[in-house]
Amino acid sequence: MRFLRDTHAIEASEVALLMAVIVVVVYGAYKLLGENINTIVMDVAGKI
Amino acid sequence: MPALAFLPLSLWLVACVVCDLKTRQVPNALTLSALLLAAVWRTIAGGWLVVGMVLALIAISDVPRTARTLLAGAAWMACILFGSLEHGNLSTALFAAWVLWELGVMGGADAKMLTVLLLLIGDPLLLLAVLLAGGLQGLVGLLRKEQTVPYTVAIAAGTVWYLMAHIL
Repeated sequence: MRFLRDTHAIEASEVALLMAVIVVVVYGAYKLLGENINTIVMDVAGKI
Repeated sequence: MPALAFLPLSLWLVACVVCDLKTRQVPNALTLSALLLAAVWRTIAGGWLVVGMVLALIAISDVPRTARTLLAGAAWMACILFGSLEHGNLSTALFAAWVLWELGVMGGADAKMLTVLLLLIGDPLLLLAVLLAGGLQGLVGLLRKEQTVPYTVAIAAGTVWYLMAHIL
């Protein structure tokens, strides 16, 4: 199985930095919009 | 994760980092044995569905790409639909680690280490801590014009950061 055979490790680079930026942006958006989205979902659920 | 496991876990992380620094590889003797232990631990803790998903992802890694993607997505969806919210979140973090390996962003050793840690600790926030530690490491590497910092260092640093914030 390829996953188990693969023992190589990568080196952190621009990709690692990009992944961290994505995490921060997504988490920030979730914190900012999460409550509003929850309110909308609850409104829709209440009307159904 | 029991507090008693902190010391062996730290030793395991150090061993993985040392192997990576020396050879740019982490031997299966380190990762597979830990993966087996973590899978047993998570099954005992009630996460058999999540462990099942991980085993499915491992089993399909030789299947052609399109079928592999569909099967992996189905395994993840099964976890979300039939598992609890906690298991759904954990399976999402494990699936994300698998996707990063599948895309070649992460090496097999890194993905196995992350899988072990997520199964053992059981909190998807660990993945965020590792990704942020990796980003910080990448930033420092770029500023110092060093392109050769192993990602296992970020995995270990992120894990220690998470454990210090949540357990100790």
